[in-house]
Amino acid sequence: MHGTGAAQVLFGVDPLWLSTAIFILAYVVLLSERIHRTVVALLGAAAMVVSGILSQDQAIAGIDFNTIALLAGMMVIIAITRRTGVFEFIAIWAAKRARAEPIGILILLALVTAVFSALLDNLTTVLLVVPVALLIVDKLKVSPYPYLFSQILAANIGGTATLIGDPPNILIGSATGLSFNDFLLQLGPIALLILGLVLILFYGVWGASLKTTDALKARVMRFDERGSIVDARLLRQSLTVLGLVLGGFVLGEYVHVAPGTTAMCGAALLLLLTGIGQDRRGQAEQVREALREVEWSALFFFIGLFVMVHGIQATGLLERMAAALMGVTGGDPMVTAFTTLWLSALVSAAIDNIPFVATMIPLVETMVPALGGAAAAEPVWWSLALGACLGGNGTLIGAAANVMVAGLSERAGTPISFTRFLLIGMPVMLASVALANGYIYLRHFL
Amino acid sequence: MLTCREVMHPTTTPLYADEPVGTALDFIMERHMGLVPVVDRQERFVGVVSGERLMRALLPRHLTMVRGLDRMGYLRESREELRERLDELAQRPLADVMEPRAEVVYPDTPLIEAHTILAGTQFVVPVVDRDNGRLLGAISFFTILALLRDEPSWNERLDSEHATERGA
Repeated sequence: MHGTGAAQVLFGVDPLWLSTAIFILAYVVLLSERIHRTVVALLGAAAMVVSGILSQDQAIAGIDFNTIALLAGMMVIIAITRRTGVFEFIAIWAAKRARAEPIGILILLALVTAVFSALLDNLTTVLLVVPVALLIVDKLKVSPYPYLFSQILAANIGGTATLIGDPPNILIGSATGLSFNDFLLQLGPIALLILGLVLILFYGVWGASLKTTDALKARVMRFDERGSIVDARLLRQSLTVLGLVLGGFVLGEYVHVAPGTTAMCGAALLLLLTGIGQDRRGQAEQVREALREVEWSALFFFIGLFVMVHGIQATGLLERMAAALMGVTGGDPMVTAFTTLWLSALVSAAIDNIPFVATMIPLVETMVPALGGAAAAEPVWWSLALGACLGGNGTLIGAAANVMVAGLSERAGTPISFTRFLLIGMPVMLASVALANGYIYLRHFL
Repeated sequence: MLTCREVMHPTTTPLYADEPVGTALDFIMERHMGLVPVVDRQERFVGVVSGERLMRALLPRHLTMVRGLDRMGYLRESREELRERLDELAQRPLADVMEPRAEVVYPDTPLIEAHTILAGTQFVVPVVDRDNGRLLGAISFFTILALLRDEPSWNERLDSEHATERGA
């Protein structure tokens, strides 16, 4: 039975029910957060194979290696680039551009975070910007909360704008073949609009109350952003490669190079460049250090998830779920798109959006013919992306970046209360999803 | 076999975990000690406060917190800003700043264990009672060398100096 051939299901249990049971059990354990999510996903995947629902070859075929390559490649590039201090440089530079005025800093740092998280992953972005923001706030002796909240919202909104900005987009782009430019052109404008409105809201709410003294502002103006750059050569190399990779994402569509390949090429090129002029031991150390920064637990989580979802797909569960969903929406692309948008927003506010989107993707794929083909189904994909990304703003546990910011601020001595964030995050989330709903209607159904 | 009991310098500490850091700063500056044991009100050993810990606590916490910044080369602080942080630090309880996971030995521990710690992670090793956790003494480079060279330990000398000063 090695390798190919029809799988033999254990104990003669109906594979549909067995795969459903494995999937639901894994989901329940994931939601309980009692066991690390990577372990749960890998165990679920293993159960799909051991029980005979999938053969090993089928399981491996179910893994989206474009996503894995894109994530891993970007992790390497970002790990090296962040060592140069360029992200701190930009954050400090922005704060000084605002003449150390508290509300100006809030707006500019939110913009920096939005742009970074559109181009990098959200977690890295908040990990780089939030501690700098907290340091500046500490110097200015103003409340950190407006800054923390704006950072969370900006990270999630910025991440919505591009294919590489947020894991749901990476997953959707990889599965559908929608290009980097498609994402930018479809999701960029609405993300920009929402960000602008959120910043106006913050200006309105906190513009007047965030006050500090000239002496404290002088402390921030004394910061010397040039001091954050440690290695100018590494900086040039990193920025060159980052630029090439972003260019590669844009051009990839025309030369048929998938984002995963582009990111991996960039990572390899950057490792090559940083190794120039080093002896063999130095090169080995460089490579080891860069690979250590790769979040292997996240990659294996994705791998496990892909196999689990492939399991329920192979047994026909997703087809049934899709049929049920089509029954609700009547197969109408607009109703399906709006249902997907709100469903994914509400689910993503409550739980990790990655497993949800990973499950929804094959589900939507199944519905494509009934919706009237790939072109008719496109708004459903954008709805899934917008819902999953913007939904993360709803609660403090809605996205990984939120949890990271909460952790950072707690350790800095200013814990964020769940309710306090909910009071601003939930209205912003609902309003932004409503805006997204209108946007999709205007662009695709009017 | 040399055990820690024979080598240690019997010591008590005036530093309690619930006291403010300022008290420890006074003591450390007066005695020029880089690492001092800390006890709770039942005289049980609970940690050590060291120059490293104090320096770390004096850094901006955005640098030292878990997953904080790697460095702050851009920071340009005045003496005044550092003083503000020191004043804040002096108010905090010692328990916040001490190293609670300090390595300790027991009186019957073979000396080599203490010696190994001294060669690596910690330059003073507290000796605590195995049963009640009380601080009994401390072993350092000085106590070991003083024993081998049949000299009074550095602490003993300091104590006698203090006694002389007070007498005079």
